[in-house]
This record gives sequence, C-alpha cells and structure tokens, in this order.
Amino acid sequence: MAPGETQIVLGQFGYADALPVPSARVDKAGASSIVAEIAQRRTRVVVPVFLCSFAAYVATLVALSYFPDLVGHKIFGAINLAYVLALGQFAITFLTAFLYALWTRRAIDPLVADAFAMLGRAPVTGSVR
Amino acid sequence: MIASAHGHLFTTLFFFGFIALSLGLTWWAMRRARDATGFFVAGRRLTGWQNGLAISGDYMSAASFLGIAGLVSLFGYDGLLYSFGFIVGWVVIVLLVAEPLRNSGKYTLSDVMAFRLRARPVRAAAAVSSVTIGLFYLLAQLVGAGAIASLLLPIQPDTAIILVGILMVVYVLFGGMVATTYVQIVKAVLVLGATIFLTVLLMSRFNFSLDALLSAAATASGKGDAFLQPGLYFTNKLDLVSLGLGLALGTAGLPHIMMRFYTVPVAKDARTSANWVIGVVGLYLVMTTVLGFGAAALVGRDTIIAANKAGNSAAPLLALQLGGGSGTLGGEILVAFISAVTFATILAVVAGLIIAAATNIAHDVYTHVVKAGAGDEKSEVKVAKLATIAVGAAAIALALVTKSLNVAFLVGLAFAVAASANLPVILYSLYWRRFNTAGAVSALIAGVASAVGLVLVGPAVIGPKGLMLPDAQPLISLINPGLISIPIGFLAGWLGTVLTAREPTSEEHFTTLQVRALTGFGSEQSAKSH
Repeated sequence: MAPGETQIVLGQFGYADALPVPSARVDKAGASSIVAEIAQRRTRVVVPVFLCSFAAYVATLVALSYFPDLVGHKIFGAINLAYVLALGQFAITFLTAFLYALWTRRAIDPLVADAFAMLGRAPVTGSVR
Repeated sequence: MIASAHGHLFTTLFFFGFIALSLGLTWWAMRRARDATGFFVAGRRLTGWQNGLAISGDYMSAASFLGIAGLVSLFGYDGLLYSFGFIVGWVVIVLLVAEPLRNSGKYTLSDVMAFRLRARPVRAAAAVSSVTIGLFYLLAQLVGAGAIASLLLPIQPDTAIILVGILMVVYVLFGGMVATTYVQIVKAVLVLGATIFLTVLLMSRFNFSLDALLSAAATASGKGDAFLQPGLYFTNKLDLVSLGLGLALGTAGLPHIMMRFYTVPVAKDARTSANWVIGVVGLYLVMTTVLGFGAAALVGRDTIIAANKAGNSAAPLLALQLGGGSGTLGGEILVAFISAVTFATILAVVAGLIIAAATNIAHDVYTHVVKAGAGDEKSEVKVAKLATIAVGAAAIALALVTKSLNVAFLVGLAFAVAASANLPVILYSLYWRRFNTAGAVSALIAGVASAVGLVLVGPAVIGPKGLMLPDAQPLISLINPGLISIPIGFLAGWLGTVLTAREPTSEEHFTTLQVRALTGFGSEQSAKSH
C-alpha cells in the first residue's frame, strides 16, 4: 500500500457519513451498471419468491373458506389440515425471511459495496453502539 | 371484574411500577430527543434488534393479547386467521419495502413518494390517508383501554381512557421517539415473558401434547370437531378472504410501523429488525392461539362470556386458573401481573401511534405543504409537539363518544385503508418508472374513499347488526372492504398515471431514487454521538 493511501476498514467510520475515499477513482458509469445489476437480480429472485408465498397465502384462505371437508381432515390426533395450514403460514414467512437474508448477504451486499467504491465513498457500516 | 380486592392491590402495584419505570425512561430520553432527528426517529441510532423488539411491541397490543386469545376461546379455529394474517404481512415488508424505504426516506412514508413526485399534492393526500389510519387505530386502542380497564382494574372506562391518553401525550411530548421506543421494548419483553410463562404452565397441564390440548378444547367447547375447523366466526366466506387480504397487505402501509424503519442507521439494520419481528411476533402469535384453546379447555365458554361478551377476558381468566384458581395467592398474583402488562401494552402502542400521527402533521403537512419545504427543523419539532397535544386531545374526546364501537372492526378498517391507499403508492413509487403525481393522488383518494365508503354502506354500519338504520338492508354483504377496495386503490393508481401526461421529472428522479433505494447511496445518516 502506497504512502498516503487510506485503507478502508469496515466499521472504521462508525455511524458517521460515508466518507470520501482518497485513493478510489470515481466511476459513475460503472456504478450505474452495478445498480442495474442489483435491480435485475432483485426482480429475478425477489418477485417470484414474493408471488409464490403470496399465492400460498391466498390458496390457504380459499381452502379455509371453500373446502371445509378438505381442511377438516385429521392428520395427527386432533390436529387437522386447517391447523397445519395456519402453522405453515408462519413457517413460510419465517423461511422466506431467512432465505432472503442469506441471499442478500451473498448476492446483493457485495454489489452495494462495489457501487459505493466506484462512487468514491466508503459504505456506511451501520450501528456500532 | 374478574379479580378480588386483594388482586387489585397487586394489579395496582404492578401498574404503578410500570408507570414509574416508563416515566423514568422518558426523563432519561429527554436529552436525546431534543433535535428533529432525535425527536422523530431517535437519531437513527437504534440497533436492528432494538428496533425489531419495538416493532414487535406494536403487535403485542391488547387487541392481539386479549382479542385473539378471546376469539379462539369462543370460536375456535377462526381466531387463528388474525394471527397468521398479521405475520404474512411481513413477507411484503421484508422483500419489497423495508430496505428501500429506509434508504430513500427521512421521517414519514410520504418521503418516498415525494422523492420523485410533486411534493405538495402527494404529501397532502398521503397525510389524509395516514392520519385517517392512525386515528382509527388510536380509537381502537383507547376504546379497548376503557373496556379492559373496567374488566381488570377498579376504575371506570372513562377514567381509564383519560389516564391512558394523558400518559401517552407525556411520553411523546417529552421523550419523543426515544422514549416511545424504550417503553415499547420494555413492554415487549414483559408481554413476551408473560406469554411464554403462561404457555409453558398451560402445556405442562397437558403433558406438552398439542393433540391433547386441542382435543380437550374441542370437547369442552361443546362443538366437537367443528371447533377446530373454520366457519364458526366468519359465516360469510368472502369476508374471511377479504379480511385476510387486508391484514396481509395492510401492514406495509401502516405509518406507525413503517416510520420505525427510519430509526436504524442503515438498510441492513432495517432487514435485521424485520427478521426479529418475524421471529418474535411469530412465536408470540402462535402462543396467543394456544392460550385461546387453553382457555376454552380449562376455563370454559360460559365463564368467559359471563366476564365479557367479546371474550376479551379469556387470557386473564386462564392466568387465574393456571395460578391456582380464584382466591389463591398464586392465581391472584398471576392475574394481577397479566392485567398490568395488558395495560402497559396499550400505553406503549398508543404512544407509538400518536408520534406517527404528529410526525405526519408536522413533517408532511406543516413543513412541506404549508411552508412548501421551507420550514426549519426547530419549528417542525415545535409543530409536532403541538400536534401531539391536539391529536391526543381529539383522540381522547372521540374515544369517549365512540366507546360502543367494536375494537376489532376499527383495527380491520385501519388495515384496509393502509392496504388500499398507502401500499399501492409506495410500491408504484419504488418500482414503476412511469408512475406520476396524478396516479399517486388518485390511488390515495380512491383507496381511502373506497375502504371507508364500503364500510359505511356495509353490515357493520347499516342494517340489523349495524350502528344505524336497523331495518334497512346493507348495500354490500362484506364487513371487511379489502377484497374490493385494495384492487380499486391499485387500479386508480395505474389509471391515474396512464390517462395523464408523462411526468419527466418523476421519471428522471426515479433513476436517482433507484440508486438510493437499492444501495443507500445518499440516504439520511444517523445523528452523531451526543
């Protein structure tokens, strides 16, 4: 590392502003192509995931209202399909949030850091308290 | 009332303990809530889990703790719809709204819309819908406070409404978002702890077998298997679907929940908060339904209805039973603790609602509509404090005259307005380049008008079960307007946009908004350490 250069350490800037990075070259075109890539990845992954989980919810509502015999089917002792469907909604919500968090950390967060670097800024690193 | 004079001593002790603690927190928070960022969004310095717990606190309202348990204890399975409807709303928030919202806004939901659209008309229309939602929600909580107080404490409903009203104004006025948040966190831990404790006690009676609990509840209800199936509460099939849609889509449009995402430093923390909410609230909501079945099995329908027709006393009665029964020390302490916690929860939730409404009035209406964006931050805080007193006084007065309204109905209405007016405009603003000001204003107006209008001509207001004209026939059979009003809101936003001229500034700013929403570049920073 050349003298005068500042190395970026995550968390270094605390909750302060995104400080300029002296050594980075500003590359606006590069940054906007990264933003386009982020938008594309989100559309490709987030939209289908949302539509699937919402469809599962609406299907559950319709099944509960219009197919009473089906949802009344007992699965284990007194526990019937209706109860399993209700718990299933909690499971789907939890799983969706969990997988989304994993995916964003892997597929989106590095791109965001790249975009910040190309705009000549260090990414804001979040809460330090 | 369900507890004895002996029990009231404990309730009063617990209750004053919580008030003292919350006022202490408010005093401590005063220093941090002086400037605008401090007052409105706690300096954006909360950590993800703190904010997550505070939002969870918003969900652990009296409506869910007493309402869901009560509904399940009387009607069985149908009560579960509220619990999983509330949680599914978080899929929309996590995937589509939380992070972009934190990145692009400042204090209110309208900030995201005004980023690219013409600020004055959009903020004015959005303030109407947000304050409407806030007021319905606030009324529900205050009316609930009155009803519950007379059930659990030796005070009159009116006294309870005024007491809760004054305390909520004090928290917000002096402690702003900082105090509101910490009161909410303390309460969330208390409610969650109480719920876990009751659930473990309950399940130990049934050898931790869910099957045994459900069987006992079905047998004790006298309805048998039907008690564990849908259909006892929602007799109109479409109403179940309509309410379900409103609950799931309304959450992302609730101003008091969404503004909480501005209290964390960056979008990543917004994601963390949302994940905390899903974990904590999910666990909590499943447990409230278990408590409902427990009350049906151990307390019994007749005793629950004798205490309160709507079933609101199911959870406290179950606590009395699990502690050892009426007249025992364990039972009285447990029911006293549950009563005090319930009251604490109402206080914290109304404080969160009132700060959201005050922020809408100060930031959107005063600074951006009246002053056209030229007002300074100091006067914005001053206006917010005046608005806190005004909204607080109006809500207390309204709650005193609308005491007879059904609490669940008011909450459902707030969710329906949020889903029909706010949600379409937020989603279009964030994701549709062509969207323009005319579209936003049409969606907001059509959403509020259709949701409120459909309720006014529906069975909740007109007809034999309604508030007025008992001989008339309601114009629609739906109690919950969501099924019709949500598509109307989305359609109005789309039509309003494509039928009017393109708005070049909106489409230009969309590019900037996209960069900011997706990366957080240029977003509002948290306050420096004091």
